[in-house]
Amino acid sequence: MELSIEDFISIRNLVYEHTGMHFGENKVYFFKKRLQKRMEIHGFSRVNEYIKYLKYFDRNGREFQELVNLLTVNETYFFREFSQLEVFAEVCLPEVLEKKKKSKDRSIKVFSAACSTGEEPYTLAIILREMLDDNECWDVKVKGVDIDENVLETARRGIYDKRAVKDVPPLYLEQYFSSSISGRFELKPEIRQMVSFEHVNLMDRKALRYEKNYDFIFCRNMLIYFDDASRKQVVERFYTMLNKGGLVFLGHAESMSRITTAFKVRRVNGYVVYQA
Amino acid sequence: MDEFRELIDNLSSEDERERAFAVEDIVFDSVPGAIDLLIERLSIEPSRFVQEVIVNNLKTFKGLELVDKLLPLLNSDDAYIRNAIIDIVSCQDENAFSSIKALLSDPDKDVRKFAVDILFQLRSPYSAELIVTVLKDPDINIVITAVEYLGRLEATDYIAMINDIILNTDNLLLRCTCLEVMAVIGNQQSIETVRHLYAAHTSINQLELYSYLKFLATKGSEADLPLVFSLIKSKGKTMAKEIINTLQGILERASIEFLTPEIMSDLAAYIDSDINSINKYELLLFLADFQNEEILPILLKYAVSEEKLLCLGAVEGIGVLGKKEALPVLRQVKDTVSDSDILEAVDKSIENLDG
Repeated sequence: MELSIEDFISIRNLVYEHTGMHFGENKVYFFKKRLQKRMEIHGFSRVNEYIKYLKYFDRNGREFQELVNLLTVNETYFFREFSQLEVFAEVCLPEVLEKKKKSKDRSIKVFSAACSTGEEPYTLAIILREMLDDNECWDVKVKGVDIDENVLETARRGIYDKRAVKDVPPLYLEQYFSSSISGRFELKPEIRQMVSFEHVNLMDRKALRYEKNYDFIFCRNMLIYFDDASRKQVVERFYTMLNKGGLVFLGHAESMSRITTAFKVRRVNGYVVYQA
Repeated sequence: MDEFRELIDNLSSEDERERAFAVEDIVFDSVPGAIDLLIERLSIEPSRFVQEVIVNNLKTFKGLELVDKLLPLLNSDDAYIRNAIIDIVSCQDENAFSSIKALLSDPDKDVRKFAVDILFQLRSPYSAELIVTVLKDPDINIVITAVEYLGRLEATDYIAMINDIILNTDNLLLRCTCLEVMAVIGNQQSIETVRHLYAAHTSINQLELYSYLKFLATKGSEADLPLVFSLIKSKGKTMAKEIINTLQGILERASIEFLTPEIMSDLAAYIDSDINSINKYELLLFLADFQNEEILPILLKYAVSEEKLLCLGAVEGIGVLGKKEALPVLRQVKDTVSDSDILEAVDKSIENLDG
């Protein structure tokens, strides 16, 4: 399959317009291989025919979603996108803590949207535990929500296999997990009690209305699975959930630029965060 | 109406959240006069966030009533509101056409331009039919926009009008737009028109040259190659994308197996020059479509490059070229790199050569 740079840019822009995910030029091969798979399934031999199909004939967006599924790696593990978490821990969190100390507010609220089996909210709880020098003085709440009750059951158990903890720094692994002979890792109660889980459909108009005063919302690699209107609706809800100045973290390739202009865009150590 | 009084009052609440929720509930509960309430609020709402909620909710309505109430806001002083109106009306169906058509002859050129934008965004089979009516608009920017949109809608039925416009305008931007549209939907008449108009291509304005190359990329012939190669020497870096597209277009249409020695050597030098890596990647892959014996050594040289895109272009090119003597180098690359894309490309090329 020949993928001219023109076609690459054209389809990359299409993906960006629909999902907010941006792929740089060094992803041309990655992109091409996944395109090829979809084109083979539909019997397209030329990329521009496939682009035309996506633009004008894929009315329900099903094929586009299949392509997006191939372009995204839907996996979850502790400390995923480590460098983005560093931005949270070392820059954004201290800023918020500083402001809170001044206003004598001792609560921190973090929301993890589409948290699946819980690796992300527990990761955030570990980071908060590490970064707060006087833990007892803070009222820390991390909430993970997902539409799938089964994954939430796993999350509540707090027991993970080796693959899920592969990126956990050894010191934290020792401190916050107990390992069993079967090679499973169980989170210690001090972390588990910081996190609550709730079954929520983010598209439910009223479900999140009463969630407010959050400082941080993590919504990584989820918006790409929504259509344009739904994405706007979810992001609107995030805005109402956040404190003034609260921050949204998206997946590293995702962007809100075509969804809303209500948030301020901040670039922190190479990462973009969105401020209410 | 009293049952909805609280919701309506909440539209003016001090609390931004409450106003946003009121907008959602007014639409969800089908409050009578919802469209009027929201449009009125949109104009005075101080929060951009709440304005966005209003716009997103207005998009859920369909019908002429909404369109007719929104269109006067195209005269708003607030750019956000004007763009929001275009956005909302563009979500409508062809029923909106009669109202939009009337705007195409509005005395205000901005309103006429917005109407053309909406027609394009509606992307109806009838959009082009209306857009074409402003090709004689007194405002040149509207004509340029209309020509561009006709190209993007691939409205081949109207190419004769565009062929005519390029011949009769002295506006540079309009000529550029016509060239780029002719590149997409042009016919034989377009080719003849451009040949006539640009017979002395040495005097083409720099800006126009970009569009001219885009035209040649889809409509040019081998007779245009001397110009393209002269541009490699004079503007090879700044116009790399256009030059490469033109070369590829012309040589692919020529269906040749071997490049002439001059072309071969110019292309090798071009890859060696200081153009961007993504352009080198493209050229390396392009070379693999030909059978000249000089091509494999070039690909082997770049296969061991430390730059990802160069290595990828060469490795993929080797797979396309299909020469088994490249296998040892591919295996060497496989043993030394860790990048997953390159490893996948190497495996694919080895499979091609082994198979």
